[in-house]
Amino acid sequence: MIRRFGLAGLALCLPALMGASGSGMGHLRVINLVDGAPQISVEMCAENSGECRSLDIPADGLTETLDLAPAVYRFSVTHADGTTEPFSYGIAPDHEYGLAIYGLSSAKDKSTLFARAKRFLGGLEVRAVNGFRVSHRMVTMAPGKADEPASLRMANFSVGTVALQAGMETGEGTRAIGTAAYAGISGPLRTTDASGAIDVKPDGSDLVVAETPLELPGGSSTMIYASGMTDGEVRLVIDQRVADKASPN
Amino acid sequence: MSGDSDTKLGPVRVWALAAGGMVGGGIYIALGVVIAVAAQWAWLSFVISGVIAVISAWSYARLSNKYGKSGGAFEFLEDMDRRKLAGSLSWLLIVGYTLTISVYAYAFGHYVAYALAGGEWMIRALAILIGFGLIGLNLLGVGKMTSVEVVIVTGNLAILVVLAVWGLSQWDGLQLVSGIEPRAPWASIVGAAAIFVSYEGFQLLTYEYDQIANPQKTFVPVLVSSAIFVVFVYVAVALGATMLAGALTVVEQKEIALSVAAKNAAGTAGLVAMTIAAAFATAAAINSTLYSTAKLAERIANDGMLPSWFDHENRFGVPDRPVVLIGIMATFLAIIGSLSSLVEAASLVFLVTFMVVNIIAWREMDDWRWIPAIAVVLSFIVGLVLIARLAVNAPVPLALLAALSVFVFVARPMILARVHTEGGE
Repeated sequence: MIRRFGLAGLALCLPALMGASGSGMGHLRVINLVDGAPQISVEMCAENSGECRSLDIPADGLTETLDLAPAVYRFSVTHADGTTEPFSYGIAPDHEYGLAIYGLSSAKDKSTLFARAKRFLGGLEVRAVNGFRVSHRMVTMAPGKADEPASLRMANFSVGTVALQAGMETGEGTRAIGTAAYAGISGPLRTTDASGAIDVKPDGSDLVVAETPLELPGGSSTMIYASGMTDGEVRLVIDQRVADKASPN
Repeated sequence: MSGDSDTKLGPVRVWALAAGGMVGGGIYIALGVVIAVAAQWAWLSFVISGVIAVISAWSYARLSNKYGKSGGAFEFLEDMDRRKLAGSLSWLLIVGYTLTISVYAYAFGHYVAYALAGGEWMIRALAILIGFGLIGLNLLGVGKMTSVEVVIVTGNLAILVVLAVWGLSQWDGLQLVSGIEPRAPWASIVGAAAIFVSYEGFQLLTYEYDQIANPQKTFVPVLVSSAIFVVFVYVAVALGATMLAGALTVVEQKEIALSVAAKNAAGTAGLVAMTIAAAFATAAAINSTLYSTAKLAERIANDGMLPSWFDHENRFGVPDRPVVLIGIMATFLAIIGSLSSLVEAASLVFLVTFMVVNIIAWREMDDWRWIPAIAVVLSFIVGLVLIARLAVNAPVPLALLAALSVFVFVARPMILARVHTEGGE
């Protein structure tokens, strides 16, 4: 009897918790930062409708902004050396997201027991729990109004590097974005500068390992992804969103 | 003591101080931590830890009535003639309160710096400012300002309730998993373990038992109802703030999650209101916790369970040495510690303390003994989960806590035997 009531309660509770969404669309870009894979294929299916789509993303590339019906989506990623375990993310209306797929294509894909325990007990913030296996991380990209400062962050998905520090050189000097260990994110740096030169160095070093110029529209939200390294080169992939226009840089 | 504490505290003020002691700093920093662990079940984490807290409030209040004096767990154990355990637990409690103060200072720095668009240095400077500022105020004898605290608590609760209602009015279940991976319901137990410190504040009232009007009649219902109310507030804020900001934003910006939610709801006005609420609430929580912890240290030093160096008052009647030492240690931790480590280390200390108090209630009470028994079992399970979580994800803070516990329970009697105490143990 208790079990029956419990199941009935759960059945009533879940739709209420995960209830119907607003009318807006969610906006997603998927970024391929997998080292050693010339291309990845991402399959994503809405769990409520079963509707699926496949994406082929070249190395260090990112998709156009996908306008998605709000739902929980189930993803699987096929890369040069295998397919990841499926994983899910919620896509809510009127939110902008970036989904980074990162890791080393040749690393063992199977999750260890310790990695599973660490993930269960550690929660969403525990990254890289199983060496450099191909993994994923969602970030929010929330551009502000055009008269607000631009926001910059740096994500370190460069396999095998020490922590990386990023800065922005402007005419008035260098401003630190922050330091991030592998699979970590630093920043944000909020700035009213219209442009600058981004440089990335190993933490505590003056050696610039990657750099790129960057335009910074007012209110824009920019994520600088550091990738690569196994071939000896750190590369920067830029995802920038502005309030009324969101397109790859 | 100074200020308006010469008059007895009526039930409304006791209720407000108990609720405010809990809400004071906890929810401002716990939300992002618990969503990162329990995802869409964060609200259930608050319910699970809330059940332990409500029962513990009941046990604390009934035991205070039974023994009829201020002092909380320390006094209960002393009256049971368990002086060694009382001494060890009180040392552990002082560690827990110091960690709690550091969490509040950390939250103060982040919330105020965010509103002022400040960076890391401003955060640290603000944490130092509030830490040292409140040490100074306490030394001047204005550490206990119950009337001011009641006003701050009321304003703080009002703003949090408005935020929660605003968010809940825009209900969209997908916001609970916006940008994050949905998790299984039992993740809520891990979440409950991580943020248990959010409920610790009510027990400060047991240190003020002597100041409460007609406690035999009012203390149990007032303390229990305030704890139940706070459980509802936490659940409502957890759901409401997530509706306004989205789950991933709350996790990514966990240090200032409620400011982000308030800004999303009402723009700059929302940000300003939440910053003011957070600043006053955390400052008041630091102030009252620092004051009570220093008084506790003085009291146990007076009983010979801390070196007599702690049993010293300045010309304002303030236990100045404990105030300075605890305040500086907490400020230092706020500057160097990470949020999750501070929150979870403090949670473990209070889980242990509450479990001990519920065991005492189970042993000493003549009726309703099954109620504290439930809390003991729940605390044990949640505590084990927290130890496993720390062992896997944060072994260094866990090792430090373990070393500290060994020090408190094993080395403490040896130290006290060698230093000057008031009468010895």
